[in-house]
Amino acid sequence: MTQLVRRPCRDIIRLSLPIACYSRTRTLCSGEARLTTHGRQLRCAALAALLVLVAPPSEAQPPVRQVLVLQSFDRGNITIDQFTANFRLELDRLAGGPVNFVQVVVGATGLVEAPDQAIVDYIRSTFTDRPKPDLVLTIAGPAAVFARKYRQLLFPDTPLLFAAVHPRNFDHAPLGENEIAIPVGNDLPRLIEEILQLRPQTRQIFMVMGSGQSAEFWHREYEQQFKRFQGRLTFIWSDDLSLPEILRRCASLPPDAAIFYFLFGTDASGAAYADERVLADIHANASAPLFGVQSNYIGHGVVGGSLIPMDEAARNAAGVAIQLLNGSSPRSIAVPPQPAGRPVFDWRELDRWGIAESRLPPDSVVRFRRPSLWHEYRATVLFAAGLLVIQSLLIAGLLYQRRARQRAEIESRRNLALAADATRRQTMSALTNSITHELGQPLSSMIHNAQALQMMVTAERATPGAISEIASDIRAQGAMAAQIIERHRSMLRGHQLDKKPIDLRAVIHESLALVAHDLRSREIDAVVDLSPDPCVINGDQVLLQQVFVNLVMNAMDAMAATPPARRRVIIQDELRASDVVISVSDTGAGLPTKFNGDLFTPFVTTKSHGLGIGLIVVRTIVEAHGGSIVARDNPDGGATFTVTIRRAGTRAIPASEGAA
Amino acid sequence: MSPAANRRPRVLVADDHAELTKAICRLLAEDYEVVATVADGRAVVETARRLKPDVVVLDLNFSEIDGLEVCRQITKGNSETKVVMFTAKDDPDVRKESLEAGASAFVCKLSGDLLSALNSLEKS
Repeated sequence: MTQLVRRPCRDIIRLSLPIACYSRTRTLCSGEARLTTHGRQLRCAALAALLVLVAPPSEAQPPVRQVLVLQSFDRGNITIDQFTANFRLELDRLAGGPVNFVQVVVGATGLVEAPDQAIVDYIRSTFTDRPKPDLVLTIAGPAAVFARKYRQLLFPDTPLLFAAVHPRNFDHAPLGENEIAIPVGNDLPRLIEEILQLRPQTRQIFMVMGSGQSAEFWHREYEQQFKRFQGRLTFIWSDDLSLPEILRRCASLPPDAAIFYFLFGTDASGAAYADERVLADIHANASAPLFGVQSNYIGHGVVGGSLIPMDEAARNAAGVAIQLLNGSSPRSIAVPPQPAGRPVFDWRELDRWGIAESRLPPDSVVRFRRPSLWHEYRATVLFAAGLLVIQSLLIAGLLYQRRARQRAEIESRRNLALAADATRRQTMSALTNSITHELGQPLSSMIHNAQALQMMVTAERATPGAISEIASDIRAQGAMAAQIIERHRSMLRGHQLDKKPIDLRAVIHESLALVAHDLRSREIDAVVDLSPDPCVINGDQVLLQQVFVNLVMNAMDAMAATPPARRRVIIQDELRASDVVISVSDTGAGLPTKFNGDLFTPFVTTKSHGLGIGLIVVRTIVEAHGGSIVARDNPDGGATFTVTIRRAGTRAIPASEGAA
Repeated sequence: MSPAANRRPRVLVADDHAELTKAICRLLAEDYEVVATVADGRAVVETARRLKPDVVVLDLNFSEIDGLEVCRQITKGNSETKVVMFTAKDDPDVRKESLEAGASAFVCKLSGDLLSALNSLEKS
């Protein structure tokens, strides 16, 4: 349970009315909810007495010092609020003992239109039953004017400290013996120069400074000072305008304008406003950038500049105040002038009005900077960047791998071509007798036909019909010879893999033509059982011929010991949906057992001639066509080599399907 | 070979290459009578015995039977029929084997000497 407990050591008076300072405090008796008020008081009293009895004896408490604070503006004035708060915090820190503050607003926003004498009487009455103040502090110009005016009525023996006050206030009346001032110079011309540096296009400045005596004073003062800008800038004064009119004007300013907010107490209609609200309204409506004079305005809509550091001014004032409270004479205290602080700017306003940071004075501090994507999403950005890097590395790796694979494929094709060339030439060398015989037949026919024709001509028996018939035969035999030569020449030429749509049946027939003589001379029957339908594959004619010539020649070699009556090579095809299976069977001795079923091992052979790479080249060629080859013994003797190749226009077949 | 003066020598052509056989027939048509052409090696001996030609132009390479063996069977005990071994391969060893097998002449198919070889046999 919480309850309000009066704090006995501090008094604060606001708006000229003494207000006891209360704070919510949890007490030891707060849990006794069901007790009567009277009962609780008794219990608390008893507990307090007990605490007093058991408490150790302490030293005498230092006297509570009294400070009378005369403020120029009511709460809501940004400068006064923050100055007072900082002053009190610093004074508490320095004092080392309790200090009572009695705050009275004596400016235009306090007891509005109340006679000064009434305010004086009220202040004096506040101290009737208590010690006189140990220090009178005024904050800002209006309070300073009031204090000086009624100095003799308001504790003339008490030291008087003028804080946050312009030196012009003392031009006509020097400080008294018991008075000291901490002047704060408002160097508006310098701030105007800064505006021109930030926005060189500025041609007019709308001045906001409230109305009343104070505003009139500053109007006259700065109008004089701003003469240096004649011809460059036009100043529009608003001390004769109401706040609504000021806001309306601020909303319709041209692009080459700026608003300068000096202070605000009351407007021309006499209405008092808190400048926190005035600043907020101007900022919300302004069509031009808003500038100010004090550092407290940063964060309330002003762009910024070399502003008066009011926090520091409050701390300086507290330092002087504590010296006065400790008995120092005002004359003995040296008060340095308050310099302008480091240039401070609000990033949001710079961004709003398009002011480049490159135009800011050196050593400027930019506050309220919107966190960058990096600051806001650093972890996400790092994670994403990490992923990107990993992904890039993976892609680079895959590209490298792909390139290496392409190089390997090119190298593999080159090696295949070289190996295929070597074995093909070896095969064709073995077919020399066949070539001679095959070519000898048409050549012989041509020779004898030519001889016959010559004889007929000599004997004058050559009729046109006979001549034409013989010439036709010679030409046909010549074409046949040319075909045989071309067939062998293509097999002997160096060759690179060159896939085209071809009919696999034609490949097989050409292959058999190459070995036809050998088949006859070795008394081997060639049984060809192929589908009547074309079997188009995407392949290389020469290399696939090499495959079937090699397989048939292997079959012929395998049947060397087979009786002639049983020597047979059977070539069959089987067309499937996506591939074609060609089998080459023989009736020979079967697969050699010494290879343990692996016939496709390079440089191993059962023959006295050859390199032992024929079958490995055959397999490589078949695989280069996306196919496969397997060998097996036939149940009734002999062996069968089965080649599976994908048909043109069909998808790739899995290796498991391709293997027999 | 001693053909009658008014009779052209009778020739049997045995070769499994049809176009070559046709060309030979044209070549011999002027001076010789081609009594038959045989493409099957196994039928040559029987045909020769039946037709009793003066000369058999015999291919060495039949797929069914060895030409040398055919030559031996034709010439064995038969001095009336001469054999001209006709081959695409001009191999001295084969020439020797052919003559030993009873052939009267050995002619390479690519030489163009068949007619002169037959004429030589006719004069002998």
